[in-house]
Amino acid sequence: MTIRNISLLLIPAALISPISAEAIEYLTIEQAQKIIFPQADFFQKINLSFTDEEKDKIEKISGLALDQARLEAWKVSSGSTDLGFFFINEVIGKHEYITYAVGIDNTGKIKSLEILQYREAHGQEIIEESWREQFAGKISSELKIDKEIKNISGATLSCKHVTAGTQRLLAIYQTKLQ
Amino acid sequence: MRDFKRARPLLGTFVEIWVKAECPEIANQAISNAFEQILAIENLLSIYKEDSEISKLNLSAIGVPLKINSLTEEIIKISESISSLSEGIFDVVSSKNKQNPASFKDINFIAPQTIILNKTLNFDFGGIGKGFAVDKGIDSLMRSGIKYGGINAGGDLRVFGDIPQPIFIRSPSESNKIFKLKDAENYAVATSANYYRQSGDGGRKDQGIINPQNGVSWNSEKSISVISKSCALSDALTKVIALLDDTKATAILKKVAAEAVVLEY
Repeated sequence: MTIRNISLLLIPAALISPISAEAIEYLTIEQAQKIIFPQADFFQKINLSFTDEEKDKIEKISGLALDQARLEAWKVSSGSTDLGFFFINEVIGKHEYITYAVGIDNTGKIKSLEILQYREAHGQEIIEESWREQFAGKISSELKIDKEIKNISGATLSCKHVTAGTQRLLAIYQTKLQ
Repeated sequence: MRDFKRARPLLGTFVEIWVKAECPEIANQAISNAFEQILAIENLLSIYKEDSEISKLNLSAIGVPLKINSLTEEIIKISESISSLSEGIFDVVSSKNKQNPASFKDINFIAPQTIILNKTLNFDFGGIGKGFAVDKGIDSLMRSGIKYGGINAGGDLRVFGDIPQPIFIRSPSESNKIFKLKDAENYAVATSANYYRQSGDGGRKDQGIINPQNGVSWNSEKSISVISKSCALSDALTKVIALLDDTKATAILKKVAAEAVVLEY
């Protein structure tokens, strides 16, 4: 691969690094609860289980079937006031799961959404020895995968799976929790 | 000062915002405000939302005064200047079928935020919208008193603050390989490439870059990254640099004090 500079300034020698995984934790559940429902003082965990009929209805409304991915829900309140519901769910990004949180308010509207964890593995892609050899001595061994690899420019994922997952959470709310 | 970073799905991708701040309350309020600003821009400019301002403008009558948001006015003017700079290579006229659509000269500003159209509008800000949203998000962070941070919207990013931050570019054909350019302060970088055009891998398919003057689409195993002070400018110029030879490209970059890096197979 060639690297061509069209620039005014001298660009220093390039470093190419293979990365085997990306894992970023943005928020814990508690932090996300506080951000999405700042006035809440109580989160009551709900046991979610679905009849076949409910599963069909959810799939019909949202276009997305219920799957084995993590799904948790809490009823949210402040004193005796109902504030809505808080969900944790996971959807596939490219190869790995993205964990996200959604708040639905007491009128059934999506309040807000935060990503909790993003992971992506590149295990399937082999880091070829011969390819690495051409950069012998130049590959930075100091790069740490989850701390220093950031500010990457270049395409990342479409968020369509998270969007679809959010619609499914809305369907769950409408089917079971309204 | 501690580091805080959050992400939300916006603009069709994932938008990350990070700041240094003294406490979570200050950081999270600033980050939430910046996300709201980006969402507001999406609601104004997305042609995928029927009730966005641009969708309504594209259906609006000619010859009558139309009120537009100050952000819409701003992106029209920025787009016009980049179009002029690139001699029409950058354009915001949608490629979707419309006979004889309006160009910038068919938009008359009769007062601030008030226009009259001479022809039916058919604008699509997809080639600059993400970069513009990033710039406005950064403005929002600064208004909140944040002194150091950044925003990355699906690979179009901008950083600010007086500590250098690294610039990495993803390889155009192998997503697990990244290229470190340098460390710098206060810069924006946007990258265009035919990433992940294979079907079924969950990756985002870039809109095809098409030269508006001859309809030829750009297909190659390379990526163009443009580094400048403005993410909107970087975003728009990636499309321009992709379609020009090096001499013309260098001339344009020089005019706006930007630089470009091409990774090519």
